Order: sequence, then structure tokens, then C-alpha cells
Amino acid sequence: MDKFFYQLALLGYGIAMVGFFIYLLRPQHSVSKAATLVLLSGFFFHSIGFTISWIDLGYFPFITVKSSLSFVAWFLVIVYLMFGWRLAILGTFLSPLIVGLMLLSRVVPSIAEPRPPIKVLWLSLHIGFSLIGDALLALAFCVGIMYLVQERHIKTKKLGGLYQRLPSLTLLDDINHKALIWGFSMLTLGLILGAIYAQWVRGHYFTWDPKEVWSVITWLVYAILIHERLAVGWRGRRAAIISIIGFMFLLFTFFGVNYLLKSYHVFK
Amino acid sequence: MKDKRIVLIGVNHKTAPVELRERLAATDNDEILRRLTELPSVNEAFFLSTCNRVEIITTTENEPEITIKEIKDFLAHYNQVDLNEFKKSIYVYLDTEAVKHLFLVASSLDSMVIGEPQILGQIKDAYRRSTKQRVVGPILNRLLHKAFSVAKRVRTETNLSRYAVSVSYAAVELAKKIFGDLHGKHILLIGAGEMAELAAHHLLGNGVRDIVVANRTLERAVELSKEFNGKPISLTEISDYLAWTDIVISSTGAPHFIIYYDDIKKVMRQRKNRPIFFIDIAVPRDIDPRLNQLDNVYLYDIDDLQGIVETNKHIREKEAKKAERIVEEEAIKFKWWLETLEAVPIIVLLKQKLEKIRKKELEKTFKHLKHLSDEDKEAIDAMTSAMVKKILHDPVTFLKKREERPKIDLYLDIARKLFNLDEIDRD
Repeated sequence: MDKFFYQLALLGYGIAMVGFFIYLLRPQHSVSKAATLVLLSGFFFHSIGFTISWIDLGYFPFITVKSSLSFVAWFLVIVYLMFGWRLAILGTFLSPLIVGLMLLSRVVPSIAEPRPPIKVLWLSLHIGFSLIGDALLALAFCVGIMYLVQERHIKTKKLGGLYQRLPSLTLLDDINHKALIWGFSMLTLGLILGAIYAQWVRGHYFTWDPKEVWSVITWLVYAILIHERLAVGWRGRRAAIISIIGFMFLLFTFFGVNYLLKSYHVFK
Repeated sequence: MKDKRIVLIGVNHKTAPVELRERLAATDNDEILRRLTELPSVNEAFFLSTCNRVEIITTTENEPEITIKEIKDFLAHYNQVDLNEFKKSIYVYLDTEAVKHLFLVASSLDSMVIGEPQILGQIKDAYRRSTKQRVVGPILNRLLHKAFSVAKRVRTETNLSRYAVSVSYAAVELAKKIFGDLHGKHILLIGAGEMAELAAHHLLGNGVRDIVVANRTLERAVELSKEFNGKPISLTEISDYLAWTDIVISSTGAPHFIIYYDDIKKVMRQRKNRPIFFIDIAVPRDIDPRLNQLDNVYLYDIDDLQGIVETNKHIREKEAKKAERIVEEEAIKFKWWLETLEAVPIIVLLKQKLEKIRKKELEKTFKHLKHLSDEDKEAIDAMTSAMVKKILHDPVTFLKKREERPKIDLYLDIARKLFNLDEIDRD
């Protein structure tokens, strides 16, 4: 039953994405509003799907790769709704990511969700915070790209293309900044909770497992970026580039480790 | 009822030199409106006078030629201008052509700088005066309201007014794309000059908070800073303010650069990389062009801005074609409406509408009642037909009887609205 709702959600996100691309060509409020509404309907079905899975499993469904992808997509819709009401163009950049994640989550071969692990609440918090952090850092990645595109327009003095559609550099940099701070905080919390959980369940805080190592590397990349932003005043182009690089690390930690390296974190 | 005709008479920046426009432009619009409606042929009147144009729109039941002559004579007499002097400059449009002309003017397609939106506000003011004087009736009311909605359609459906076509506005738009909100930003104005001052004015109008004015002579700086309510400094103090300011407008007569790459590189560290926007209007340039290579530093010189303006003008010309299509379309729609302003067409539309409803409902009913014989069907058909006729009898006689009365326009308008007849004539 939940699968059916996930399919509906994917359909909604897909149509919304097409809508956001039409918005690029016809920048009218009615177009972005329609796209947002369709996105919302997808979100609605997605939430129903989660609720059903949750009731079936007895814990929130985001332990497997499949379900965590789906959760990040779901949370990105919330992120869009937070900023999109005054920045519809964000939909054009975020929706492909949402659709991509949802699609991946549909095609990844399904395994039975593991039986309720011990101390499921702690595990859920560890995963939940990590994934919310991932979603916010994905937002930083998206506005980072938007920033680079807009900056390029202004620097090269070619004011065609997306120049009119994209917002001001300051706004993009602000969102990037906020997304980084919040995303990083969530990620940090997720890592700490994970370490505590590992100590309880496995007896060690840290076991040099590839996933753990890569998570720490990713965390360091973002830590450096945030430090430079706050202390040295890095902003604009450099901050945008680093948040894009950071996101590449994040993607590797998320997928690469699961499929390329051996790790006890793998729940394929 | 006699035919109502729309007559538009006017001069604009293309047809008349400013000396003539000045003499026709009214000092007292209300009086002109009153005097216009006192002319024997004129029913309704609208008068628009701006620095680029004078337009008079009237409706008449008389021969248009007579009306035109009356108005021209009035203009010559009232403004004490020899008629022969402005005969050639005046244009006259009738009916649909007049409608189209007004729509073009309202959408700013006939303006000196096409797409500049001021004209719409001026038409709205002029219309308000006309309604206050009670010199507009159903036709001009509808015409003016339509003109506003056409202008709105043009604005939302085309990019006609979207892009800046002056150097100073282009600079403001860029500043907005860099900083977003300009509230609380600081400007440093170096030197003086019309374009630089205009840009400063526009920025202040968009919420910029402080302005510091630097000049070669402190005296001139003091003078200028009064105009902007700013703070005067001398040229040697500029470097102290670079860490603080967000937008620098430079327009000095200096033969060499006054702001160098290395200085700004240092300043950016001090600024913690907060973005800074340099607008170099001077020729020869005041600011080292390499500045643009620094992160978070944006530099536009006069050629860059002029380039943007040229591109934008080109876009406006292209968009004007789209806008003209919209105007044509709306003018045709208005023509349909005008044609049905008489009793007969309204009655025809009304009959058509009811007949259409009757046929549709009969069909629906007969589909369900298969057992009816042809005779039964005929009887029902005749009965519904009679009903429709009886229902229509009173309103139709009412409209026909009042056809010659002055208030007929109002009743026709109400009839159209009550039965939503505007929907039909578009089919």
C-alpha cells in the first residue's frame, strides 16, 4: 500500500519539475504557483506513504538506502516550501534533485527493512539528524550553483540567460550561509548520536569503518568552510564552490561507501 | 438611436514641436473639459495633457467632420493659436482607430521612450478628472477602463517595460541584482556629473541610506552633499571610506586612475569580502578595470552600462511587436462591443442566448423520454418556444421603447451584464 503512495509522490514531483522548467520559459506567478501546488500534492502522498510504512514497521522508515533516499527527497520539499514562497526559481534547481532522489529510491532493489534494531529511538535520531543535515547541505549545493551562474552573468556583463530570473547574489549567499550552518549542525548532531549509539551497541565510539571515516572527512570539509566563512569572511564565489565540493564528498559518503567499499553501515 | 462615434484629436512629440505642444497643453484641465462638453456635438469628453502629448477623446452623435471642426476651432480659440499653424501637426482618429490609438498610448507604445510607465498614471489622473466633472458616459468609461486593462496585459504578457533603458537605471538594476535590498547600503559619489548624480538620486530613491560626496575641491563637495543630504569629503580621504561603502559611483575629470587594483585588494580583506559595486562613469576611466577580477568586486564602466542599455532597447523594440498584437486584438474586441451598443443587436443577442438554452434543454429532456411520440415532441417544442417569447416580450419592448431616450446606453449596458451577453459575442 505504501508503495502505491510513493509512486504517486514520484509522479507529483515529476510533474512539478516539468512545471518549474516551464516557469523558466514563462516566468509567470501562475506557473510557479501551479508547480508548487503539484509538488505539495506529491508531498502529501509521500507523507501518507511514510505514515503507512511507519505503522507497518513500528519505527520510522529510513534505515535502508531506499528509504533514506526517499526521506531526503521528502525533507527537500519542506526546504523548498520554506524558501520557495519568495523564490520560486529555487524549485527549478531543487526539483530535479527531489525527483532524482525519489526515482533512485524507487529503483534501488528493495530489501526487507531490518527487524527493529535495539534502541531504535537512538538509531532513528542518529539517522534522522544526519539525513536532515544532508538535505540542508543539498540546499547549500543548489543555491551554490545558482550563485555561480548569477555571478558569472554579472562578472562577464552578459545579462541574458537566467540573469533576470535569478535573485540577487546577496540573497543566494545568505541562503547558502544559513543552509550550511543548519545543515552542518544537524550533521554534527547526527554523528555524535551515531557515536554514542555505536558505543552502546558495539562497544566502540569509532571503529574506522569506511562510512565513519568518510563521514568524518565530509564533516571536516564543511567544518573548514564554515570556519572560513565565519572567521575569515569567505563568501560569495569561494563559499559557493566549496559547498559544491562538500556536497560531492557527501554524495560519496552516501552512495560510494555503500556500493564501493565494505562497511557495516550498508543496508542495501 | 443615432450612431455614436468616437473622435480622437491630438498632437504628440512626433507630430508637433515642443513650442506648439506647450501652447496646447492646458493649465486648467477642468475648464477645458467643461468647455468641450459645451460644444454642440460633444457628448462625452476626455482630455489628456502631458509634456509629450495632448489628446482629446469625445463621443458624438453628430457627423464626425462637424465635431472635428468644432473641437479644432475651440482649441484654436481657447489657446489663441492660429488654426493654420497646428493644422498639420494634428492627427484625428475615428472609432476603432481612435480606440487603438488610446490603447497604444496607454501601453506606452507611442511614448518617446517606449515602455516607460508614467503615461498610464497620467491617463488615470486625466480620467479621474473627467469622472469628477461628470463628462464621461458609458462609452468613454468602458473605453478608459479597457485601456487600463490593455496596458496591464501588455505589462504582464510582454517584457516591454522590464529592462532599464537609461544608464542610471541600468546601474540601479545591477545594484539590486548584487545586493538585493538596497536599504541601509552606503554610497560614495566621487566627482560630479549629470549621469553620476542621476544614478545617486535613483539609488537614494531605492532606499540607500547614506551618501558621501568626494570632490577635488571641498567647496564643490559641500555644495553637492547638500543636494543629497550627504557628507562632503576631499579626494584624499576616499581610501578611508572604501572599507565602509557598498556602491562607488565615480565621475571625475582626472586623466588617470584614482582607484587602483592593489588598494581594493587590501580593502577587501578589511571588508571581510563584503561585496562592493563600482560604477565608473568617467572618461577617461577613474577605476582600474582589473578590479573586476577580484572576488566580490563588481565593476561596470560607462561602455558596459551603455551596452546593457542598447541591448535592452533592442529587447523593447522586439517586445513592442508583441504588445501591438495585444492592442490590435483588444481594439477588435472593443469594436464588437461598440457595434452592439444599440438596442437591436442586444435584442438579437438576447434572443440567440435564450434560444440556445431552450434547444439544449429540449435535447437533454428528449434523450431521457424515449417514449414520446413526434407529436408530443412538437407540442413541447412549441410550448417552450412560446415561453421564451413571453419571457422576452417585456424586456424587448422596454429596450425598443427607450431607444431614443438619452439613458438607453445605461439600460443596454445593464442588459448585457444581466444576461452575460459579452460571453456570446466572443464565440
